[in-house]
Amino acid sequence: MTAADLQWQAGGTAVRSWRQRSFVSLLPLIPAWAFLLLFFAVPLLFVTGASIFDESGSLSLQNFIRLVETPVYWRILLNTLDIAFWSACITVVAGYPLARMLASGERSGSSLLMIAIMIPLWTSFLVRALAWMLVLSRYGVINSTMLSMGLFDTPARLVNNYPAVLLAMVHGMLPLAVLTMYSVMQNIDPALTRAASTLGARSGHAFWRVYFPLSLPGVASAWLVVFVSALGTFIVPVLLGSPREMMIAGSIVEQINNNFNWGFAGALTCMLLGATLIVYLVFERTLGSSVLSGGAASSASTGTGKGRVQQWMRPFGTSILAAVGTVTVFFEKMLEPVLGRRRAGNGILLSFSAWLLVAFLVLPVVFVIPVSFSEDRFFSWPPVGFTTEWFEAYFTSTVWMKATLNSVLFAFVSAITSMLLGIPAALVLARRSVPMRALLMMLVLMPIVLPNVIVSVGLFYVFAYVNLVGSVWAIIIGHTVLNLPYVIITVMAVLKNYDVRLDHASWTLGASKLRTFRLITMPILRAGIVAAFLFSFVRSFDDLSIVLFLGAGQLSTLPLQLWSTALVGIDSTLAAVSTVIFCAVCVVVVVATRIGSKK
Amino acid sequence: MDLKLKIEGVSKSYGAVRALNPISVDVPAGEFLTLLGPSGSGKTTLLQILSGLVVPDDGGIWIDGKLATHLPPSQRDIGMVFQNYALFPHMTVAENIAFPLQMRRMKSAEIAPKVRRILDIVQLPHLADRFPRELSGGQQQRVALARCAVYEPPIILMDEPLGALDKNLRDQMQLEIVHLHKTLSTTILYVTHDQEEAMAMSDRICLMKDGRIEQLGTPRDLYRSPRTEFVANFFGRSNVFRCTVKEQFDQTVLLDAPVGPIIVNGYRPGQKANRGQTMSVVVRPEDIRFLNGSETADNEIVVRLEQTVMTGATTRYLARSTDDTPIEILSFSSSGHSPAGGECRVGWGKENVTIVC
Repeated sequence: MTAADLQWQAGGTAVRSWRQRSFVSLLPLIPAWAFLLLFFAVPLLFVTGASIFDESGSLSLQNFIRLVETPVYWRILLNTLDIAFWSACITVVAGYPLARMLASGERSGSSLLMIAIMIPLWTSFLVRALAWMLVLSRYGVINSTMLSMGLFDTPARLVNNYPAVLLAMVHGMLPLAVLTMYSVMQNIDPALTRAASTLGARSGHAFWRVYFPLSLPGVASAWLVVFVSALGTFIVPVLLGSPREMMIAGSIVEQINNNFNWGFAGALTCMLLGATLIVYLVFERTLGSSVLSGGAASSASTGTGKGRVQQWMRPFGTSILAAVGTVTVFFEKMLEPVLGRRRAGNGILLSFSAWLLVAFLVLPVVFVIPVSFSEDRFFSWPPVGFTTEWFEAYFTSTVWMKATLNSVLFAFVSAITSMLLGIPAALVLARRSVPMRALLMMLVLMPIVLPNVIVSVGLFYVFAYVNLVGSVWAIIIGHTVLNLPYVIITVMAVLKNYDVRLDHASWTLGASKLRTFRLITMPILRAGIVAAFLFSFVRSFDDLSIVLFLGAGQLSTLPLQLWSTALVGIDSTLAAVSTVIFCAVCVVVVVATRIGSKK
Repeated sequence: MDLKLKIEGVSKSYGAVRALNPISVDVPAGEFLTLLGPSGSGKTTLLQILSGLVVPDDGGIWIDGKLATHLPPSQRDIGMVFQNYALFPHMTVAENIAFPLQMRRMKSAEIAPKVRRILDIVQLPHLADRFPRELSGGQQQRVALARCAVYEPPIILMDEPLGALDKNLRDQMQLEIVHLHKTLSTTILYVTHDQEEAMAMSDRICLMKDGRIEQLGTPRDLYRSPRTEFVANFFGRSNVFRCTVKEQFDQTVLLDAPVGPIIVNGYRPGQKANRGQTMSVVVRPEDIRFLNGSETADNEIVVRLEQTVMTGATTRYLARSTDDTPIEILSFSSSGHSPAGGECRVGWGKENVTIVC
């Protein structure tokens, strides 16, 4: 054997041992991966599977035939698409000025603005829908005020119709949409607008031709996020709509909870799944894949990964934006003598509309607080007298207390589980080259981008199979499926900004890998990890769909108790519970912001 | 010469922080003026005030004789090259360059040849349809210059435009900017913290410190006759001696310094120095020379050599005088009489001493 051969062999062993080590380094990925495969991918297959069996258990397309042949379900599908579409459009348009103001940040009060958005974001969807019932109902805020002012003769019918559903939907989705757009706008270099103005662009042109096109990826992501969330919503249409506003998710709930028709619920779920996937496909084709991954990726790569259609649309888009810019500048010039030169483009309109939106976001929930002290047994405005009866009813009722404790327990355990599974996976995904990374990331993203109802129905099938429905474990696992992706994504985002050289420095200074992680990595990442935990906690605390399907009536949580009570009648205890939740959220958000701003 | 830009008594505070003390500068047409200074010296604030991005608390700005203090940036007709270029990422190179022309309501038939011409000047005609992110740093820099120059603004402001480039590219771009300045014969206000860059490019340099103008003059003025110790130390290296006035003979003054007596020739006729008055004087390292056996100079001291640093064309000698004052000497490596070490005699002429405050 020659020397060269020997050397070559030595090289070979080195490569092999490196490979083994790299396999070991991928191990932390396995638990998260296996968990998602088992409790997300398999349930999804079950849903599709179950829909193609009839009641007797034999293979048939019976469910789909029923779906196709019943015009009611076509109506429901169209309704769903219609409401989701308009909710998304209105939310994005309404949220844009708010997001822009938040991103500009120079205006004082932008942290106040952030709090004003975080509080509704974290206040349960259900509580906010209840607040709208108070505002819009027959004896609600608007009707009472109008009647007492003599503007109405008889109470107007403001609830149980299409506008009410749309209004509550927009209200519900607005914070998320604003934050999605904000994350993109934050990354737009403020020097670009300044550059445009030194190049001779008045603020109208600078906005429409430079800022707006750059913020479009955020607008598209926000639209998509709202659209998909709206597709899977059942709370708002059931509480504030009439049967004519029935949406798919609502009829899935009905099929399972009232009719016990799993097969047909599966077919409906497939319809929802199909609709969602088609929307994604259309988006991917026209705007490129960056939209799917949300703000983080799209802002860095504005203009990259363009689909063919986008390339083709570009000149049209440019000239449309140029035209809009010209129109804006025309008005700007007209306003100049009135407002003074420097103020014309300075966004009085922007901050006015932004604060109007904040009022829209916060006020409905604020109305609930006085009602919770009202002596009236049902939601009504104005509040009558003063009593703490409803709070007493809440705090002394074993049903409500048990539901609350369950909620806290599930939220806590599932958040911890998500962290334990998610953080190691995020560390590996962010730092190592992982084989089949795209596929893994898709598995991680899917639970986020699909409506929760789909996951819930899927898990129901799986757990029904192993007889776990109605157990604590089923709910914790369900919540973990929803939270794990968020933990992974958040921690990955935090890690992206983490300078790996700090770790290297620590190693060279003699710290072991574990000690480095404990003493260097962890403290720096703490804020991000705490955020991920809080977010998981709140999401799981708010969840209704998982508990509704997997609790099987044997386990209750606060949202479920609120929901089932609300379906019977708008009892004033609901106002007391809402007030408690709202105050808890306010405290958490304000404290979190304080901690955040101190750093 | 007609005045392009007049800055009078302009000042700016951010809360309690005084970013800019009242400053007045006149810039004649066609000049390349550099605002130089360490960070926090107010140079960027002044530039932003000129561009209209920041409104001054006080004072006025006249562009071409017209008051422009409160005009918004879009109506000042100035050009600005930003630190990180601020190229619009969603527009191609050609679209970026066409943008200011479109803003001036030019017809597309007029725009196209102008864009082509300026791309030729910056030597990037083949990259017209690329997006900014597809270009190298130097190319982006040139596009930023082209976008600014294409509408021939009477004044171009540049905010550390070469900061992000590496050394070689920076040297090359310096020459290109100077060339562009000549070709377009515009007025340029250039901000940098790099004194070599300022020396290489400017007609005049305005050296700033703590929101004040420290000295305004040609690069040669600032180097050869610095008015303060700060200026002397900012440009190149210098030997600074604290001394007291001993005697005056017309324009020549005899000073007393710890290193020994120093003769200065810097006094204007009629200017009086008071006996006992203290002052600092600066002697550039390259003005100090080694004295062979019989050679003499106006000022002579004996130094002990401590370190010799050969930097290529020149060699730096770090020495100490008998009273332990550090002395730096710079001479051409090829000059021949490099001392062997130990003690040696050095000297400089009385015209090489500059009095600073």
